[in-house]
Amino acid sequence: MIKILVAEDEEPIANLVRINLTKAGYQVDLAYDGQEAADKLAETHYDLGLFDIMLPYIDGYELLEYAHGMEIPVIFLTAKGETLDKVKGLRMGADDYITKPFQIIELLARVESVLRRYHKNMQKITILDMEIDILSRKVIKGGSSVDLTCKEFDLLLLFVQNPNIALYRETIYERVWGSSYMGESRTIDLHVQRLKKKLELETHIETVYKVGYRFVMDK
Amino acid sequence: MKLFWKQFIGIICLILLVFSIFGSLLLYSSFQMSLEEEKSRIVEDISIFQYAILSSLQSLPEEYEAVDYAVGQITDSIIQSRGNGQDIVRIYKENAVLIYESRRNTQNAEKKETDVWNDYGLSAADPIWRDRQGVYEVQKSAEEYFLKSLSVMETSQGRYYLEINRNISNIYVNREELYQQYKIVLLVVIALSLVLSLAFSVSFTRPILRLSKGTRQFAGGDYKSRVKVRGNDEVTVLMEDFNEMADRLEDNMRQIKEEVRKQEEFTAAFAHELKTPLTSIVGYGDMLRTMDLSKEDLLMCGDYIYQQGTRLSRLSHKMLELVGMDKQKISCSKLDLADVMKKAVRIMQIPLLEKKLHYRRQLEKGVIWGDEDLLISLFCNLMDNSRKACEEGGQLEWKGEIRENETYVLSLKDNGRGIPQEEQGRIKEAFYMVDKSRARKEGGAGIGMALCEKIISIHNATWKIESELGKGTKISIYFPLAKEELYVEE
Repeated sequence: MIKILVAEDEEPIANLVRINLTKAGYQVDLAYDGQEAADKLAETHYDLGLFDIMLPYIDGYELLEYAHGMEIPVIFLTAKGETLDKVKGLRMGADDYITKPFQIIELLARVESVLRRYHKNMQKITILDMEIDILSRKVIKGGSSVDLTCKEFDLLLLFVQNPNIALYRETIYERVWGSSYMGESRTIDLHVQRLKKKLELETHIETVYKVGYRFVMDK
Repeated sequence: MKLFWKQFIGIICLILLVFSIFGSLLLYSSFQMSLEEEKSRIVEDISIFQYAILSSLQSLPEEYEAVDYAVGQITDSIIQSRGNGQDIVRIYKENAVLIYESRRNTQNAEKKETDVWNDYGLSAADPIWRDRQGVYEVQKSAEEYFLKSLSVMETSQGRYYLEINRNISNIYVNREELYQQYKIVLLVVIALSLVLSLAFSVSFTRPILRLSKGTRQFAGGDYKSRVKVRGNDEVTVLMEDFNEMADRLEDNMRQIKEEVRKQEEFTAAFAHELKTPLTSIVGYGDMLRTMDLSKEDLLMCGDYIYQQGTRLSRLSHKMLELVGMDKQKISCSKLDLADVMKKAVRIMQIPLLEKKLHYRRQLEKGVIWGDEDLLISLFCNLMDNSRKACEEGGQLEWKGEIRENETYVLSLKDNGRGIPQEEQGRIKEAFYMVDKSRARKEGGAGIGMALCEKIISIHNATWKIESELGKGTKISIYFPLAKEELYVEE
């Protein structure tokens, strides 16, 4: 199981991150200040650090250096949204940057992508009876490969990476088509229909009334 | 044209003008004086000759034949005795008959006697001659100058003319020599004035150039640059004024920068304070709308959203208080601080008792000028801080006393957990919290101390924070007492 250390001095935010990462299948440890985070980093091996920058005792930048010594990828999680701070964080070697406030699906997507970059074995997702190879963009279902268009593949990936989360039409459009949602569009529905048919996911992709779709695993 | 060149050329021109006018005048008058001197000498000689000739002619017998010869002899002897060997002396009889010549002038050898008159611009029969004593004229022949004179002598033996030609070339030579010397001196003066005026112009324009360089540097953004002040003239004063202006400007700019920095820090801190509860609200809200949550989780999400929403509203309330204080008109009146403290304690009584805190008051009466509402807010804030810092059953002590008839010292002491040494400098900053998680639990937004700082400065008071970790905190506020005179005026 992948272990993530979250260093955040605001308890509600720390809990928010913990709950959602746990739901997505990660093991999460919390540290409420920099000292605690450093201690935990020394004790246990983590696969990823999610650090606030303004932390008591030891700030996020210092933690970053510490974590880098152990080759642990780091994502900053901070309210400091100014470009200069971002540049400083990234230049110091942060792998990504999440600005508060954030959407849960953004948090999950960034965690995913950083982890995938660091762990080559994460380039394959095995879910239900499907094997999804993210790098070569191939899907094998029940032993035989299924041909998907580019958008269909992205759509599948979005569903699979956000299980049990209701995906709003706007969100889907933004993530897959890369531009902002322009009201009524049948594009998403058409693609979802085709995806369901090709991969026999009729029971797993639910329509959420007035919202969008949800990928449900345990049915 | 540059000031330097103006001055440089101006000085040289002035020196040259003065020197050449003065020099020419000197040369001219010295030459004229020598000439006049020669003339008066020749006049003197003429009268000597005339006197000698006339008196010796009178002593001659009347029927003496060789009068002309005698005149020549007499003249000769006078020339000998006076040493006028250099002069050419001639004596003519009527109709320009030369009867004596001291020295044969080779140039005049072939001259007819009548030409002599023409030399003086006269004709032999000119009647004017009878009235004239003498005619003087400077004549140039070859490279020599002669002062010529012709005078008349009426004797019983008839009319005689005396001509004296004197070589005065030396005057002209002298003048020429002087002129040459003058030219050399003039050259020296030109050279000297070049050097002098250069030095003067440089010394005059250098401070101006320095000032201009300093100004340019300052204008170019180097606000630390100053002009080095030297000397003791108007430019020096200008430099000093410039430096003073630069000091002021730099000071102002520093103040503005400081203000902007503070403002930026405040904005950044405020944005941070805003975003933190917003993150929770957005995050938990997102969970609510995208996930199928258990009843328990639903409650938790709702609770977090409610909590953080309340926090936001508290923050906005305090912010309004802090920002509004600048605009709000402060109504000052004479207040007894002991009285104000009493009112504040009444407000804080319940929260203090809830935590079972014991408090002791020992307050002298002390009248200051102030805004009652603001002061109550200040005291409540500080008491609330004490309350938060103390464990249950803690001790609070408030003391107020007048010092030196000028200051009212109010001290609030608690035996709470204290403030770490390294944090004490920053606690007056807005949004600064020593222990964030605990401050949040107690419902603080980190604005209290900034608010206190503002209220204290409005009252022209100062304050001091003494604290020891684990032992407690003592805050002393120094209020200026209201003066009696003001009371009378009122």
